[in-house]
Amino acid sequence: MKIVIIGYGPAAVRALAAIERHVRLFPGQRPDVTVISAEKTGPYSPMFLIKFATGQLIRDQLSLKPEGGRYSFPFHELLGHPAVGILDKEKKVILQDGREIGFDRLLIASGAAPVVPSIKGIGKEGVFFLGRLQDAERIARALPQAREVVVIGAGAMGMEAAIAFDRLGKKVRVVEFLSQLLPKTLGAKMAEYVQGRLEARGMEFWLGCAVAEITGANKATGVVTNCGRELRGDMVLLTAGVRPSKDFVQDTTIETNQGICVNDRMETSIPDIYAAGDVAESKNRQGFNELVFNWYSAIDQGWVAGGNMMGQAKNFLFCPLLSALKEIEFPVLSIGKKGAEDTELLSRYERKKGIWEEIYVRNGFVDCYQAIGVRDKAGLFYTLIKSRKKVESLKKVLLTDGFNATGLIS
Amino acid sequence: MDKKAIFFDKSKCVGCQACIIACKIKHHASPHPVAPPEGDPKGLSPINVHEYGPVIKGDRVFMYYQPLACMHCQDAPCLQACPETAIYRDEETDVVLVDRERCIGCKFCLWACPYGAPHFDDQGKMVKCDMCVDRLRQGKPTACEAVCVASAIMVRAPEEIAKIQAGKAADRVMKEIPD
Repeated sequence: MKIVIIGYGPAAVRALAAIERHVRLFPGQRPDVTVISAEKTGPYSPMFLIKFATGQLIRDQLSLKPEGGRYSFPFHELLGHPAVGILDKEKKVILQDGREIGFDRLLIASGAAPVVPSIKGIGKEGVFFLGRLQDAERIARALPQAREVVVIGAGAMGMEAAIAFDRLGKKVRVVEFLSQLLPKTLGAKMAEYVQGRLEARGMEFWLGCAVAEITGANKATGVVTNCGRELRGDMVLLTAGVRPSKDFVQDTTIETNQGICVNDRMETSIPDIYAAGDVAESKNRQGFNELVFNWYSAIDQGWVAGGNMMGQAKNFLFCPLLSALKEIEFPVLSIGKKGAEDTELLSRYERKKGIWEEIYVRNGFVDCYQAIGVRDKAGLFYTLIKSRKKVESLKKVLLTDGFNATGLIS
Repeated sequence: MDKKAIFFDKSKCVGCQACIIACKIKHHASPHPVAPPEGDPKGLSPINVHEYGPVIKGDRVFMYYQPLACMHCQDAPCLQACPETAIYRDEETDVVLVDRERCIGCKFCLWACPYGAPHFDDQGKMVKCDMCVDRLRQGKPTACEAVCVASAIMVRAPEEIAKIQAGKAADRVMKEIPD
């Protein structure tokens, strides 16, 4: 059997691990696997790019390695050859150089790429994105010379970068279009609290401002916001969100929305074509399609897709979004999505300990958990939200210090 | 070497915290809190005793203690979540271990663990209960089991623990049945 995988990120690597597991159990079923990647490098963890750029990790620590070092099935890599199209009837993938690669089963795990907004002066030197390894390498080269950094976008990625730069002693200015930082993950009050503590470290926040222009002749020297304020920065990092890379499926009949729609077996609307990772749009617990840009979701999807491609019957359990700011003394954590109505809020605020927890419960299920300064309860709430356990009887103890899954066992 | 599992008996624990001290001595863990964000503000201790209570039932007051370390889950979420494949399962004893050299301190295991078992030392590396695997190989009990005055911690073969659990459940059922 010929398996082709487009993309070489976490989901693809985990799918390969699932295939490897299958081959170890059934040594007779050895597929022939080809990985197609637009990048020339081997697989790496995209979520640690900022750590790599700021020198906290070396290149080798970034790469994703197969368990045991190698795969025991025929394995080919086509690196630096982006896929440009899929012939779904003929079962072929078209590469940029015109080559056609035939497949029996195809996995699309091409991930997501940063959104490039149309801002004047975006092509200037000193303007950076963060999506690929080359971007991180460029940032690493430019960082020693930069004294002041403007980060555009205060989402999870932007904030992580801003904090990493701040820890290196740079003056960091964060510009966000919306009126709070971490708009997708935190409630407004909590965001304000986090902002206050970060401002105390010397970071600057310009919320409710859009960037009108990136200033400077050839090299960026700062940005001008639409409220007319000029912010200096030798380096400008743009983090305006990510978008699934799915241009090559345009001419096919694969059902797409924002991403590629998949069922809980990670199958797309066309048989024998699977999708996993950031590019896949799976059904959430309410039955709606949802994109989750997350490591945990990507590896689960990759594992399920890999197993199913080998003929197993694996089902994917929707993974709630988990995002965390962990490079600061007070970890900020958010799991799940707040429901719209009839949501009951359980909260605990202890100023002395620097702890603030909020749990959103709806119809007896936890919908969302947001916390500042709590380290050991993430896994519990992740499990509670993912497996949708009724918490009606546990409401009293959910907020106690040190409560974790033992409370569920007993 | 047989496969091993760990069991904490909540009904026996008296909350003396001797296991914490034995564990810290065995693993040369810093007695002090470790500065965040790399470390753990509560200090490094692979085993912890959680307190619940006081709970008033009728005219009596109850206090509950739950010792807890890594449960060495069969389908360990930390093992799956580790991007560096630094967490692995010891084939011989079924114990989940972490390779310090490979750990990069990303805390992905901590966010995935339902028991909050991973801890981080001052270098930001993950430290968790290794079920004293070196002692187990020598045929000795784990440090925490050896010092537990109430026999609330048991490291046995999984089948043996299942048998003990089943016995306890049977006792509970017998109490419910009227004579």
